[in-house]
Amino acid sequence: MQFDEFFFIDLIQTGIDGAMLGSVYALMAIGFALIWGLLGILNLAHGQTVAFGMFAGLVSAGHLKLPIPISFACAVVTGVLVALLVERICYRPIRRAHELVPMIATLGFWITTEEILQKIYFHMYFKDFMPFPNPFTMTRFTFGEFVIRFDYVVTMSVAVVLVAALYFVIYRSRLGMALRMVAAGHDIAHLMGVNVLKTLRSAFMIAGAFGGAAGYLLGYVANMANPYAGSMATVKGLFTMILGGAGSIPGAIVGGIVLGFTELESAYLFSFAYRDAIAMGLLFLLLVFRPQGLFGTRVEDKI
Amino acid sequence: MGTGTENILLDITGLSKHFGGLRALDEVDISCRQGETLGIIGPNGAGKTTVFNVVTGFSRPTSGDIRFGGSKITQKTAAQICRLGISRTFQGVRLFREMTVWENVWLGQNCQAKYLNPLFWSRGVNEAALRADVEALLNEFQIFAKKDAKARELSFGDMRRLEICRALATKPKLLLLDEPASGLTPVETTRLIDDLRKLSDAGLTIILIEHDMHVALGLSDRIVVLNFGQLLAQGTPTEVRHNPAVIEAYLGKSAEAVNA
Repeated sequence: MQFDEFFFIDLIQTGIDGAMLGSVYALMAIGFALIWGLLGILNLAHGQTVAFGMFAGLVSAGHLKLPIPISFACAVVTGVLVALLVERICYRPIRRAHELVPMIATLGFWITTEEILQKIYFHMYFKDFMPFPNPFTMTRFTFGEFVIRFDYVVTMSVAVVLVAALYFVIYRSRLGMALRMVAAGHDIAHLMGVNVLKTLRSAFMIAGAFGGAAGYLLGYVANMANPYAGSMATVKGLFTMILGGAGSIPGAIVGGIVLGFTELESAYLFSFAYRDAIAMGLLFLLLVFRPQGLFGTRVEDKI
Repeated sequence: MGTGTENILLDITGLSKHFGGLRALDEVDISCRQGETLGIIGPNGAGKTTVFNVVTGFSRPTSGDIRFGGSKITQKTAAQICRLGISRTFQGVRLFREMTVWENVWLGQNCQAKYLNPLFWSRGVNEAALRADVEALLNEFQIFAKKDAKARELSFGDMRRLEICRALATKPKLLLLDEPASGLTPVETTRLIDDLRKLSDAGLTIILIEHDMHVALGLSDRIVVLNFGQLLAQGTPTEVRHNPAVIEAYLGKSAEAVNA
């Protein structure tokens, strides 16, 4: 590797791409942060909303050839449905049990659905590969030495709009008010007239919508759907949330961008094959010195 | 006193709550009239807070009936009961600690509205009027100056008053206060008694649990004494003060010293 001017241009270029990829990680982490913040459980099945959102996108845009906004909506709706299913079978019936019990249930949901998805995927696409449609693959803007991929711009814009919508809901709507009360404590919220179960279901739906959207965007940027996307999303989303500070939404956003940036920079500087290992190792070191995460204020004694 | 049942706001009959073998409440009957201030006293572990927990839907009674304004609320959830108009405070203050004073009351204010239409403000909700209400409440309890402070930064006395404010913001018909004077300085206690008397004069029905006999006997129109989950006595403060069973169970044997 030569440290000439191209080195620095590429370094910055990689950083820009990383931050854009990170916006998708942020979307995944928000789902984890919402559920953790409100329920204090790790929803390990959240990654599956990403995987199913991705496949809903592949089916609607690839097989059915629906226009992009409509197939994006399909992915979001699928994410919401998967999240509702998780709430229905992994949280609601066992919510009074120890907090580890719903977590184990979500782990079961994750493994089961991933196996199913994987079987279907290899059955259907082993011979006839179906790429994830992305009409903007070749569209690029150049600013001097830098190249901006148009699909990254779309991805980031979608992420920004979704996050803005989330903030609007949390701070300006009745539902947001209820969410904030539930986050402060289920029993006080109950006492102040909040229907806690309904509010939690809405939280699952919001998380699912973010997961489905992230799945669509990931498939679209990578140009393919991946049956293991759920595991990837769970690992990276969870890591992002912890990096940002468990349960913190601004933390999830910043954590996502930091993770995307670190990942691509380490791929560029060291090795593509080890990019995850290097990125996670560096961020692990960061957590050693700041265990509460970037935006966390206190570490609670849960798990 | 009037015998008409129509002005009985809260009517508890045969209420029991067992925790395993422990009978926290055993066949208790309490009724509270519209507009009165009812004090519940009793030694530690007598089941006073359990009465509140069961009435507010925090825990389900083992058996018995609770009627509020004539309708049965025994099987309702805490949220539904809050919307019917029962609000409470806690012995250890429980606020939204990370939110500001204003937000605490503001959130309480909004519980009365229907949950439906979750995404946006319901039409017909006059936000300015709601804000004015919150402001009036904060002014009344003299914490308006601290409205932008986080709840956890307040002094204990202010936290107590904020909790009462938040409970009042839900526009209750019945206010349950769990030891409102505990942990307060004498000056704060006097202020609290004044505030509560004002609420009572304005027609609010209050049930209060109190350890401080000065507060309990001074504020209440009527007193109920619980002991080991059972109703020991009830009556006016004067009657209760002279009831030998109460003196023995609660005030200790040195009755003369208390009455002196």
